[in-house]
Amino acid sequence: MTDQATTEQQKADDERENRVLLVRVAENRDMAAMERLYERLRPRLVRFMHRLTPDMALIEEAYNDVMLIVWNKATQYESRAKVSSWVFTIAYRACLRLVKKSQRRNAMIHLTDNEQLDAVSADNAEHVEDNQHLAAAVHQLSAKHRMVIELCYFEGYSIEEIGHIIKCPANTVKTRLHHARKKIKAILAEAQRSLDTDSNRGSV
Amino acid sequence: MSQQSDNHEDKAMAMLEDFINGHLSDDDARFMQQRIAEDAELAAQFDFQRRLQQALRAEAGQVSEAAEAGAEGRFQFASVAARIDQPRPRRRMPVFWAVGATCAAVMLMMSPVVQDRFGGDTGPTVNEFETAFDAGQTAGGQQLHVLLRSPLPEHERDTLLRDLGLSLEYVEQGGRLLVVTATTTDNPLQAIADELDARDVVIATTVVGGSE
Repeated sequence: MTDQATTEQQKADDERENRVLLVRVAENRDMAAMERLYERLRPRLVRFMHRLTPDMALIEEAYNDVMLIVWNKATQYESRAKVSSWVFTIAYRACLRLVKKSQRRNAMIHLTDNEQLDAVSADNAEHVEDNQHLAAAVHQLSAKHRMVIELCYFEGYSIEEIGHIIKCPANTVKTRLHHARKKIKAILAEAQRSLDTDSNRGSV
Repeated sequence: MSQQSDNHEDKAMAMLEDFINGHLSDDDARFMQQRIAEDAELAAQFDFQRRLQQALRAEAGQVSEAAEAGAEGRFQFASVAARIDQPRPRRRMPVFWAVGATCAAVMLMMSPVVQDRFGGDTGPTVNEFETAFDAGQTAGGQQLHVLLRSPLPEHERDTLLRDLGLSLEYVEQGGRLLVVTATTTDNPLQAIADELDARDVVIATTVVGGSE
């Protein structure tokens, strides 16, 4: 079996177990199943949230809020959807709030990311579009644009799944992705321009 | 570029994200590979998106480590369990609706239409009016019985009856029921009854008893 097939099998097994746990929560109000679900979903969701803000206190608060909603709304889960994408649907709003709270606290994300981008840019003027630059540029997007980029390219959800998660038509998802990519390119181009200006000054 | 080629390019552009994430069927994936090989702009888009994906995933390792390190001592299920055990705050909406429904019901009960149909505490019902009619017939004298839409203030009632040519010598009012006993100087009661029937304030009239 290839690595990819193994990974797919692993994902399918995870999904099956998550579904069983969620059904136990919904039908039996099973606290042990809820605790297991809490632990199982935590790495992925916390990692996702950590990409939006480094503030672990805010992330903990947001994650606990999400899981409380999962407990309260477990009976509304429709088995057609993946458990993970259903939970992401709940987490989406929490993540938007998380980003806003984080921005209110010292405009943390933008300040950090601008510094990060500048630092990276200064390191290597020749390869402004390398991985670090791209990732840093993503951090400068607005919350909504950043979320679709993360859901698409990092989490690997399909356009349809993202539409389901953020409760938008697929075309809106595509439009947001288009604008987000355009913005990333503009950020990179701007970084490149400022580097060129700096190097010209240096040479003069 | 032909129309067909334009359509293919649009379709390919629209499918690019799902292609990168491996969400396309085998046929569609083959179509995409072919289009990327043929179209430089699409190939550039594909390249950019794939590098974006790689960049985010490459960053993920660092983020995961940082997240795990920051998560130490946090994320205790007990804190969620404690909130689960707490009784949920009472919803305010049902109270709002209950108050609203009560107000609506009171207003409805006060409306003349409902009072006409179902009666109320302001006067006799239609049945009581009919009972009075029967009583008048039994008494033998000629009387005009009027069922009003709502009780009239005394001066309004008198003005109304006087305008119709009644002497007001024998007028009794109990709530919405008005009983007028005719005198010899009064206009014919049936003519007055016909006039009253046309008034908005009157629901029904009847002349009972007497020789008329």
